[in-house]
Amino acid sequence: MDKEKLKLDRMRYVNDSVPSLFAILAIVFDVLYFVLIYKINNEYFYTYMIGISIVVNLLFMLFGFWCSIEVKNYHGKFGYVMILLGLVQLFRIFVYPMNAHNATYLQGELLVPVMSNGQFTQSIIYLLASAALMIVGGLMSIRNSRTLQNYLNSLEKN
Amino acid sequence: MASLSLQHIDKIYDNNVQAVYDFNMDINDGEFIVLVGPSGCGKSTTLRMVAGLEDISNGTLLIDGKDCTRLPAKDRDIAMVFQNYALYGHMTIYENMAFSLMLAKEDKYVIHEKVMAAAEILGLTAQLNKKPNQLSGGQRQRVAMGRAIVRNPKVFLFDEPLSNLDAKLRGSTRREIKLLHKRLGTTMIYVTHDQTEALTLADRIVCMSMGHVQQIGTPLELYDHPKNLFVASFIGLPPMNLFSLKVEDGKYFVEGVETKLPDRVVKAAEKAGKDNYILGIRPEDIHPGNDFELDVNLNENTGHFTLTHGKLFGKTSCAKFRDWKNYQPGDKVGVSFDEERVHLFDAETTEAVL
Repeated sequence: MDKEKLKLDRMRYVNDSVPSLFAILAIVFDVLYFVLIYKINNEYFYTYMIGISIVVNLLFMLFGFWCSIEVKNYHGKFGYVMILLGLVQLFRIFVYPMNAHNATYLQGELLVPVMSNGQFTQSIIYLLASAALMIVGGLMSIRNSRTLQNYLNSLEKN
Repeated sequence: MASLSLQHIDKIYDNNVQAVYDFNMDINDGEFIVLVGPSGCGKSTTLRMVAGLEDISNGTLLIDGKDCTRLPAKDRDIAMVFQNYALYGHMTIYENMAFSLMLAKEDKYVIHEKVMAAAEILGLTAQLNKKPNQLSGGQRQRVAMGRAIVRNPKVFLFDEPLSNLDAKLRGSTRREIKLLHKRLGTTMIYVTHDQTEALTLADRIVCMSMGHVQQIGTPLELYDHPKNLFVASFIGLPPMNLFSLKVEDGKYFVEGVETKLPDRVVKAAEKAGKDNYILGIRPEDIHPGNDFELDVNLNENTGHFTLTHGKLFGKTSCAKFRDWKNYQPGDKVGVSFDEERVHLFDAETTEAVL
C-alpha cells in the first residue's frame, strides 16, 4: 500500500484529533479573554451587556466543546459550526475591546481609562487566537471528513 | 522466533517460600510449550520469570543463546497475553493494538500496516473502531493476542488466556491459538491448569507440581507413559483409576482381593521386586467383558460415550464406555482391561514401574 493510501486508510481508525484540539484551545483562549475582561472591575462593564457577554461565553464554550467531540469523529458539518464560532469571536473584538479602549469612567472626580493599552492588546490577541483556531480547525475538519468520505465511497465501489 | 534455555532456575520469594525448584528445559525455535499443573504449582511464576516480571533467584535464562537472566522485561522482546486481557477501556481496539508500537515511537504508517495485518489474522477488522466493552470475551482475548502479534516478538507467553471464557468460546479460541501458532511459527509458552488445553495445543508439555517439574514430553508421552503417579492422575479426563496392589508369596492382591493380573504387569512387578504398588487403569481402557465386576452406582450418558461410576475391587472407580449405556444403580457390569495399557507405579516412590 502506498503512503497516500495508507494515510487515507488510517483515517478510518484514527480520530481527527487536530481540529478537535484546536476547538479546545479556542475555548482556552476564550476563557483567558473573559477572565481578563471580568477582572477589570469598574462601572463601565456593569450594564446589561455583561449578562449578554456571560451568556455568549457559556454558549461559545458549550458549542466549542460539542464541536471538539464531533469533529474528532469526522463529522464535517461541525466544521461549519466551528467556522461560525470563529466569526463570532472576530465580531466580539468590536464589542468590548474596541469600545472599551479609549473609553473612560468617572472615579471620584477623575476620569480613568476603562482599559489599559496592555489589557486591550491582550484581549485582542486572545480573541484573534480563539477565532483563528476555530476557523482553521473548522476548515481542516471539513477537508478531512470529505477526504475520508470519498475514500469510503471508493472502497464501497470496489 | 527464538530458542530458550532455562537452566537450574529457582524462584525463592523474600519470605523464603520457594515457588520453583531447579527448572531445566531447552525450548526449540517455534515450539509450542504448555506448562500445566494444579494451582500453586509454580507454572505462572516460571512464565513470569521468562517474561522478566519476576526475578530469577538462581539459574540462567538464555534466549537465542544470550543470557537474559537479569535483562529487564522491556528488553527481552517477549509479548505476554494475560488471563484478564488487560485492555485499555477508553481506547478503541485499533488504539489498543497500536499502543505499544506508539510507545516505541514507531512510524504511524508502519503501525497502521501492522495493526491491519494482525486484525486480518485474528478476524478483528470489523471491530477496530469499537471499544473493548462492546466485544465478547473471546474477541477481547483476540485483541489481547493482536496486541502481542503487532510487536512481532521473539516469544509469545500466554498466562491462562482462556480461563475467563465459557466452555464453547474456550474451544474455539483454543483452535484459533493453535492456528495462530501454525501461521506465525513463533515460539510460544502457554500456562494452563486445563489438561485438555495442554494436550490439544502443546508440542511438548511440562507437567508441574509443588514447584517441581514432574515430566516433560509430548502430549502422547505424558498420556501413555506417565513418569509418576502425579502425572498419571493429573493427565486424563476422567482421571486414571488407581488401586493398591500388594504382592504376597507370589500372589497379587488388588485392594485386598486376590487377582490374576496380566503377564506384562506380573513381569514388571517381579523385575522391580517390591511388595507394594499402585495399579493404574484409565477409564477409557476399561471395556465390557467378563474378567471383573463393576458395581454401578451412577451412570452418566454424554451422547457419544458413557461414564459409569461404581465399585471395582471395592474401590470407587470410573469406566468410560463407548456409545450409550443404560446401566442402573445396583447393576453389576462385567468388565475387562486393555492389558497393554495397564500402568504400574511403585507405591513408595510413586515412580512408574510399567
